[in-house]
Amino acid sequence: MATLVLDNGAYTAKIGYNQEKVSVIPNCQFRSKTSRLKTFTANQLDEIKDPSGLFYILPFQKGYLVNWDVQRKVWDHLFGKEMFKVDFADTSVVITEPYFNFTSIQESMNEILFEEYQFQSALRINAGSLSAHHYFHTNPSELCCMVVDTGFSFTHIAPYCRRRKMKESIRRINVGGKLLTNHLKEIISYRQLHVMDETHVINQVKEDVCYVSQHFYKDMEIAQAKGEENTVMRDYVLPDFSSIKKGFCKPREEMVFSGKYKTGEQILRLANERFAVPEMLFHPSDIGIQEMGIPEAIVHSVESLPEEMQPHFYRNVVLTGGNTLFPGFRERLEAELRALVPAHLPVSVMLPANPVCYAWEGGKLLAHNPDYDEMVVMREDYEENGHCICEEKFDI
Amino acid sequence: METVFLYPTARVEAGQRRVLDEATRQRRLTRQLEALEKDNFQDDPLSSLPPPGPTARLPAFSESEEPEKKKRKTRGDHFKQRFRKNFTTLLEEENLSEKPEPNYLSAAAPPSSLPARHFCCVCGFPSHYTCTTCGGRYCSTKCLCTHRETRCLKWTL
Repeated sequence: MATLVLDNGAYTAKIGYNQEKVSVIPNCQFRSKTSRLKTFTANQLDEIKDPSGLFYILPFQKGYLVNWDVQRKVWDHLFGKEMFKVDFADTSVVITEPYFNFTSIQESMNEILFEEYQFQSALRINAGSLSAHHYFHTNPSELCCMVVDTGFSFTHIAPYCRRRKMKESIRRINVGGKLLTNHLKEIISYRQLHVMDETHVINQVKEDVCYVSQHFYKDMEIAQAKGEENTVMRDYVLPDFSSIKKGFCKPREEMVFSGKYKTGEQILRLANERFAVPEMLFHPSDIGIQEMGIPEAIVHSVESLPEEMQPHFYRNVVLTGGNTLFPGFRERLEAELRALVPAHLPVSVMLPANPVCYAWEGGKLLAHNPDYDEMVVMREDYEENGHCICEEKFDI
Repeated sequence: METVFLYPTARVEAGQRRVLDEATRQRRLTRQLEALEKDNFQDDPLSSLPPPGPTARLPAFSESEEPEKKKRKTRGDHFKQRFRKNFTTLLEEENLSEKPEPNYLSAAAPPSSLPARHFCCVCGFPSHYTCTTCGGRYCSTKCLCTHRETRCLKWTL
């Protein structure tokens, strides 16, 4: 029997069989200006020659699965013959869902997995639990870990002690990659060029030029300097999707500091935007979201836990999710935590090699675990007992 | 040619300008934050196409098509009734205020205990001044000028 692991994120689905490698695929549908009648699903994105003004149709809202029509289209495509060729009757599925998922969503999920697709068995689990499993698997001597999952919709701080989820101490910050991209889009549109329709392009800009500052106000000063001294400033060449397929940063030596470029490409000049945007993760109040930033929220969560556990969490912080890919993220978080945590407690923040797929890899490990068969719900059991057997067995 | 800027002097004008009250400022902020949650800012490319005219679906009088149409419709209905709910409706239906904690609402991170930092709403650099009209921040008279011309009162409801 095969096991399919699906970390069903709001932006990308991380999917693959437990014997194989992972694929990261957009979990959404697209429409493009150039071929208006067609709706592109998931990785059909690559077929769009001109993705300017790309229109997104997302199955998730605020991190929760609400648009089932779209989700089913994406799943049909993923499970179908073009991609994973799933033999449902002989396949077990591990599928992730967010913390504090709504009951109605969970029930719809059960129905779709068992009744529509008819998987042989299924395990619904939080992505963070898979990350924790991964962490304990690679660090068997550790008792606790603190999973920081900062994704597209939001950021979760989730403590685990001896494989158990400490539900009361989970904290959510409503800042995620989507908000960062939208904010970047907004400030660029106000300051230099209207790009409100270009989510796809600006998301690429964000991934290419943004970083987490180590000395915020010092970087602000540098970003304000004129000419050569401004080492923060970058000129980003926007793609035109004919001769320039993908945007890129002008090399430093080709930058023109005063006056215009003669080459005629469209340029975005970015200075404080580069680090002010990811700064939202550390200070959501900068744009008026009255919530703690990640370091403060970690301390808030740990302090709500029994005192004897606390030191273990601070030295086992593990980062997952796309936002942790900003250069400097780990260093900044470790430095800020160090400043907040009592001096006698060691602080260690770990960034895995592939933070986006860390949970998926955890799911793969879990599927090989001898306990796995005990954790799943079989289709016969579901047909016999309905939703309550899922509620009983799954730890969510 | 030399350009001459006529900067408004904030202090003198303060008395004459319209001042937004706290509630309006809060509403504006909420609206700005809601905009940051949007998936798209442009219209759906499909919706801007003219609706398919009668010519597009003329040949529809063969009998064999009937059952297929029916089948598709029931499936669509099923999905519309059961699964077509947005986040807000789902959140309300969960009725979380009556459910035991922890839940979605109780997990939200509380407000930060650190003092707020202020940035110029025009250029993004640290700012020291507040616009008397809308409460937005600015860092220099140049930015204040831009702010007044572009956004100061334009986002008000």
